[in-house]
Amino acid sequence: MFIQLYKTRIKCLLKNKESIFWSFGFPILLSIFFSMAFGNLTSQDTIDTIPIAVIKSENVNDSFIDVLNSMEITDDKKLFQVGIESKESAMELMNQGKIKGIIEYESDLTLYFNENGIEQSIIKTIADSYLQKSKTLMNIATINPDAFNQGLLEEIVQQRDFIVNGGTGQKNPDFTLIYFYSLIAMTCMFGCNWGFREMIDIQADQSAIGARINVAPTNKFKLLLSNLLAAFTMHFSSILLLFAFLNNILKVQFGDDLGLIILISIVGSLCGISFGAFVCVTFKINVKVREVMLTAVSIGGGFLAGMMNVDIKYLIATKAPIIGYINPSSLITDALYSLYYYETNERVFLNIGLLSVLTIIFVVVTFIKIRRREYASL
Amino acid sequence: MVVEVKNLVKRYDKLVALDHLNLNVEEGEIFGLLGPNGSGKTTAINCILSLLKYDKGTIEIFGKPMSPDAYDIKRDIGIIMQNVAVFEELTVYENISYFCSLYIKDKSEVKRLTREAIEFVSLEDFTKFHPKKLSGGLLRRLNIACGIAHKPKLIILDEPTVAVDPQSRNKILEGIKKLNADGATIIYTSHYMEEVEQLCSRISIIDKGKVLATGTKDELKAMISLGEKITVEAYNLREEEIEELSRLANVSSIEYADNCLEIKSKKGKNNLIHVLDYLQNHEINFGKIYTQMPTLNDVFLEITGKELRD
Ligand SMILES: Nc1ncnc2c1ncn2[C@@H]1O[C@H](COP(=O)(O)OP(=O)(O)OP(=O)(O)O)[C@@H](O)[C@H]1O
Ligand SMILES: [Mg+2]
Repeated sequence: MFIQLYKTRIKCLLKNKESIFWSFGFPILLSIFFSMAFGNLTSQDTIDTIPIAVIKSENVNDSFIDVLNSMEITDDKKLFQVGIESKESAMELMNQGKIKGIIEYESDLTLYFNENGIEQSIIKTIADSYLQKSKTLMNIATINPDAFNQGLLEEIVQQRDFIVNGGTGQKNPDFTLIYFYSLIAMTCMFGCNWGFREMIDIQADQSAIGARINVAPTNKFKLLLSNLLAAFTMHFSSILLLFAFLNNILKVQFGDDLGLIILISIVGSLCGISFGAFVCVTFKINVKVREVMLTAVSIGGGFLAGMMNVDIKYLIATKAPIIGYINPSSLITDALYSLYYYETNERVFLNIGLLSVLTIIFVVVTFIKIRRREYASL
Repeated sequence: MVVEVKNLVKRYDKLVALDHLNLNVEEGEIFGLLGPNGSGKTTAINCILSLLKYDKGTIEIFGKPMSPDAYDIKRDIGIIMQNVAVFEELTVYENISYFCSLYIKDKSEVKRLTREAIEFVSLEDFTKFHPKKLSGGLLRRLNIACGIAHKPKLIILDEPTVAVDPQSRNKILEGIKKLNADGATIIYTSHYMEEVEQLCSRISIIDKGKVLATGTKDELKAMISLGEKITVEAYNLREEEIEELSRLANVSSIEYADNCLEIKSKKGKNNLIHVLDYLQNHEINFGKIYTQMPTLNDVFLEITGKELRD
């Protein structure tokens, strides 16, 4: 009978076009949108040395070129390959695609790009902060020329930390990954809609169907288990599909440990489903209001995890770290990113652990709330 | 005794929805629960089914105390709720088969029973339809099929004909009679007295959560002091004529409005002859004339002082 109930439930869920779209269609659409916004992703799999040209002029002295040359991605990999050209030949090179950008330093610093991508934003970031730092430098230099020798240049060189953040030297950090990882996190949290629906359908005081099911001689928990299993099947398939799409079509990089990726998605899916169930049984308010709560948490949580703007993630991490610990989307994103970036998996397990704790809280509260078998009011 | 409810009390906060309600349903009968909107019919049914917590009282079904996990009792109950409860995503056939499979383990048995239920409510042409595509009446029939497919011994129907067209309504009422003829005991709630009169072998009238009277429809009518009601289409009656009519021997009350004279008689007495005599003797013009025996509405009116339906 269990299998029969499970099969019917799957059939039922499969025909719910709205849930299907939000779980299967929407994340993929969004990922396509992201990949278009970030340009050609495959070139960003790893950041390679960026060829640029600096246009000859009075302002372009050795120290400027030195700064550019001293930036490194890894110990044996320079950030820029700098050529000094005339403006015409530099333009020519850029049109041929041989260089990624041109720096002109007359009275002001001007940048020329042919396209917009991560390389260009790196060039811009570095140029901006050079400008800012060198102004400070000039001011100090007029007062105390020795300041040049007091490590200020090194500080500029440390700009590379902006890009290479405590890495192992093995992999290049890639913030565009955060967008995709938080998209996966959001999709995991979309599981709340499945969990919500299951709880509505099984409680006599929430739906007419729930009432009908409660008068049947079937153990409610057995039925709930088969229904939640069906929901999990649907939800987990949507996550796997998204992974496959990101990895195979959009060539988004993931860590190498497939087992851990699957573990993260299982715990993430369960967390999403149980969160929906938790909200359904805990807040006995209008169904629409509860649905809005779910949407707010799944999309808002994804946003806080860095889905729309990576800076948000760092703002949260520095200003309100607690949100990072209780926002399941942050935990999932961080687990995936740690898995990709760090050599050891401590941080991955920490995130999975926290995620499991949240999930267990949701499940226990839900269980306590629906254990009662008669209702005070229908 | 199929269902025995004793001193059932159910409160919603301060509102007492059921006030020491007592019901006895015998095997094989069609038992009617008649009461106006908000009288507590649905609340009573939900308590009987162990869906609702109640404050006081006992409920026994098939001689055993009812509880949420009394599965052996629940197996023999079929329930058709006031609200349609089917899955939008499943077809007519799949819906019936799903709910049936909550009661019956054997797969081929479920198939057979599903077919029978579809036949029973005449939905053969719609087995592949989704509920959204069904008309209101057809949807009600699907709702019924989902409740009775497993051939229960006790069937509870909570206002199954609300907002149903006459054609489907008759089909439903006939269906209920047939289920009863096949051996099922029926509990039927309604605020339509015509339906209850037509269908039920025994009736409890309830209001404000209390049973006011119980009996067959004749027993109920016998409880009240009214006899037949005479309605006469009479033109231009004068005050003193009405006054004189009301003083005729067996008249208990009289009303005149819109050229329509309504005379209620005392129980067991015949008034028609006297009324006709009076009209002829006073050369009063009259048209149609007919008499009616008291209805359950009159019973309700007499017990509570208000109409069953307003
Ligand atoms: N969930 C609830 N919370 C508070 N009061 C309720 C609730 N459900 C019903 N009531 C009240 O209890 C009383 C009985 O309601 P019930 O639904 O049992 O009436 P009913 O006889 O089935 O009416 P109807 O013919 O309209 O279906 C009503 O006064 C109603 O307002
Ligand atoms: Mg009701």
